[in-house]
Amino acid sequence: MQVRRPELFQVAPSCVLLDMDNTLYAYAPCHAAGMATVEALVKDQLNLGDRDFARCFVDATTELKNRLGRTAASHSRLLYFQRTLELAGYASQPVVALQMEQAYWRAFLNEAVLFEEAAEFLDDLRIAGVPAVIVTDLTAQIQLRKMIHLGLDRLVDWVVTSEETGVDKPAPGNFELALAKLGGVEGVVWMVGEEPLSDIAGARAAVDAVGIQKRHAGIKVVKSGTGAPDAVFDHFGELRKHFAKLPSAAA
Amino acid sequence: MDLERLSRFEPLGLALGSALRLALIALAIPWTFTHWFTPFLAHSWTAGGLDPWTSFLANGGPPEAFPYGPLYLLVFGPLTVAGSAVAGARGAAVGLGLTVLLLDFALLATLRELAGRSRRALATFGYWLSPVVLYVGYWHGQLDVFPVLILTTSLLLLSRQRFASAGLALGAAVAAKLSMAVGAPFMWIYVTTARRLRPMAGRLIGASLAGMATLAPFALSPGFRRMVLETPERNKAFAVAVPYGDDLRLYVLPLVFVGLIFAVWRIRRFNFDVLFNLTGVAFFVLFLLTPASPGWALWLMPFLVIHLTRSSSGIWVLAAGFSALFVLFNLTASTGPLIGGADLTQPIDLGLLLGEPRLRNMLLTVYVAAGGTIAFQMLREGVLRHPFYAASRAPLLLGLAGDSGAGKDTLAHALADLFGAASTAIVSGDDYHIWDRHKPMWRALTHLNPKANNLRRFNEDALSLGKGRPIRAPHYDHNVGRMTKPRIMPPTDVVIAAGLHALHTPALNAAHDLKVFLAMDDALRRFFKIRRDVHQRGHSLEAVAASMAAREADSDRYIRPQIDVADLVLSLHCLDPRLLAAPASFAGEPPLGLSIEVSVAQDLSNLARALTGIGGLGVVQASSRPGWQRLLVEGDPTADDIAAVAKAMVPDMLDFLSLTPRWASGLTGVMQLVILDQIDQRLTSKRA
Repeated sequence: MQVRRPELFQVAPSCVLLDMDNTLYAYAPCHAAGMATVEALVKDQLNLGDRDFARCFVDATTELKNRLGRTAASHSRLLYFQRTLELAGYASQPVVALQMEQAYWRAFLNEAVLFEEAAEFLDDLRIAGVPAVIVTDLTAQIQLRKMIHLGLDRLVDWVVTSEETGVDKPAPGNFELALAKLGGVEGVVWMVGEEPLSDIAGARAAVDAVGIQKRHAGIKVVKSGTGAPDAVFDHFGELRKHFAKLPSAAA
Repeated sequence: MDLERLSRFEPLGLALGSALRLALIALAIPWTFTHWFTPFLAHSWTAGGLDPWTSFLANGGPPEAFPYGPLYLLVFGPLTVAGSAVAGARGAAVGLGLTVLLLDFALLATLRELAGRSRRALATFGYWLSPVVLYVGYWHGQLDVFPVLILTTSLLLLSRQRFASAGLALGAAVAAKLSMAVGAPFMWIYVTTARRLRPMAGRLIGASLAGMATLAPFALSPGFRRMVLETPERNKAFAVAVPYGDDLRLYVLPLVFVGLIFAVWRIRRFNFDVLFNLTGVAFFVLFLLTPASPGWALWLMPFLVIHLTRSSSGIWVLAAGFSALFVLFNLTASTGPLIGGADLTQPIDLGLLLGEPRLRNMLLTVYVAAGGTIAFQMLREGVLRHPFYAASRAPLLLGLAGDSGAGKDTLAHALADLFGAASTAIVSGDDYHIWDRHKPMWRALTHLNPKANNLRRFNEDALSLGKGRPIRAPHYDHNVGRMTKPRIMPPTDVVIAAGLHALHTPALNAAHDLKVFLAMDDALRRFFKIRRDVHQRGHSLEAVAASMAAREADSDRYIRPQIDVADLVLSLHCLDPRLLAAPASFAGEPPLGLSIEVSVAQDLSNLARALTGIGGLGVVQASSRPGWQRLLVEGDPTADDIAAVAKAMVPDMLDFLSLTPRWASGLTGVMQLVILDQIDQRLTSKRA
């Protein structure tokens, strides 16, 4: 683990906030599997070709993101697919849109596996008595399903989705609500995430969290500015080792 | 140490193994390279023509120089000849060594794949740092890594169910080196005896024979026959023999080998792991019961390494001891390399060194004992105690009872769709009614009365199939309402006893691996019955109501009590009871929910989580009888949803299913899942 500001790592944290998507598991292969399944589905059911589908999907996503801004619903696959069908000239098609959503998430989850030692890290936190909260964008329905599928519900006691707060990260409400659910936290707060702006800068601004960035292929680590992390790690094993070395906050 | 921590040292193991290999290639020139392989390869690529074996012998080359086929020439030639062009004999040896290294690395990659994601590091330690591999490939200098690589690839392809490619690779491995044929009978038997794989057997066997047939034209060459087919190694199969009377000898290896093949044939049902371990045991037997050449030790390595990745540290110690003894023994028995200025090409005489001539035999005895222990251990842990082996000795016997119209047949066929029609026998209670439809006795008794059914024969037939014996099953033809001639039902892997009274008799219940009672909410059953009999078949509502009332009493007396002995109670109900009030006016399919009830001792939470998480279904816990738990499931999953849930929830059960299981959509698919999950939980106790 690459610690950039050692002065922030003198004691163990009093609580750990965690992003879920692309921090605890790799997002890209899951999304690819989901899209491939949906493409096959629309080809089969509506005779809509890959290229047309891809074009309408991009337009639909852009349109919805512009219209909805940084809200949980702006990531909703159901809305994306419904709008894709509309743009492709099929009108709203409730049945097919719902089928596409379920097919997408089924294939997505089928591919999703926690990063190595991520579960062990969460277990280390449990044993050390450090509460953990998942702070994640997107709607509660699918985020809770993901937690169950990945077994995170057995490892983490609390979760905040941006559907609860109304606005996506980096809005401070998400991080504040996480601490409020724990009944207030004294001491060091860690934020573990992969996004410089949403996770690192957001949690630092909202609750003065120490920003720890998970790095893997496709992740940008910035050197300076508000999105610059206080520490960077590639494997959860490094984070575990580092955590084990810190004296407990209570002592 | 746990696997994750070990995997962090994998790069270190890789680097160390690679460094040792490169150092040996740079410094050591094995005697076999300079005296046998490089002269032949140089000859064949420069002056050999189409039949290098014959011309090599004609030029006075030693017949033992290259007991290999044309594939070897293609693979080992290029780098050797290039090396020779650059730096003469030294360069040729380096070129040959580098070829061995490349193949060696490919074999490591194949083994890592076979070991699986979480155990790759163990495969690297077990193979890349093995003294046997280093000794055989780079010190003594043998080229066996090539056929072993192809055979291992063939096994990997087979594990991925790529039957034709696996067959081709098997054929190529045998064409490369005839001894790889040892593995062929096992793979052939594997695809022919397992009913779920049998449709693919033709592909694998055909492709492997085609691969082997590529050798046929070469058999015309006298040089090829002399050097490859009549190699003295062949005689080693007969080297270990016991006197049999005055002047006869009993060959041990063929005897043991035939025994092993017969044992495999008897097993009939095995999955890939069991096949892999059995093939490994066969190679061990071959190796230990012959005065094997050192190169043969490499044949064991894939099996040993995969076995190690699944074993405790004790076996690692045993394997390390075996490897060390093997190397030590062969240093005293086989040729070595010219290393730097030192000539280590001749066997080291330990006897002279230690003044004890018996020492070498002692060394041999100890290392054969160590190898035998490993083989025995592989047989015990990898075959006899393998979960699949233990769980699949006898056919799976499922009891499926329920009132008429509850959907027993639909469910039985949905299960047959999973296990494969050829692997499943359905003993249907309908075939065991005593009288044909038009007989007068039906005025006195309903079908629900046990006396109206030949339950004794039903039980005997289900039990016989459950023991793997064929039966002569009666058959009731629904179209004409008459019994037809009995038909022979061969034994299968899965037996489903489905009928009104499938859970009626204690003897049959004791034999069932899972007892399922299929119920249906009364209002829903009434709805379906009235819709069919009154609105479609035109009977009067009064007559239908009267017959239902008569059956109701018998159902309470004879059918429903079976719920008390069932392991699993499945029941469909309508989510919107208002729809059921008017069967005439509602023509659509009523929205259904499924109730799943099992004992609290069984686990339902994994199912609930998987259905919710990956299946996206509505799952609610509901109250139940004391000692029981109940889940209510709603939703309309697709067959793909069901398949995805199965993969996540019961991966071990997939080995029991057909190669192309047909998952049902909707709640029937959920029933498939529940039943597999319950079977899985029950088999776990057999496996342990």
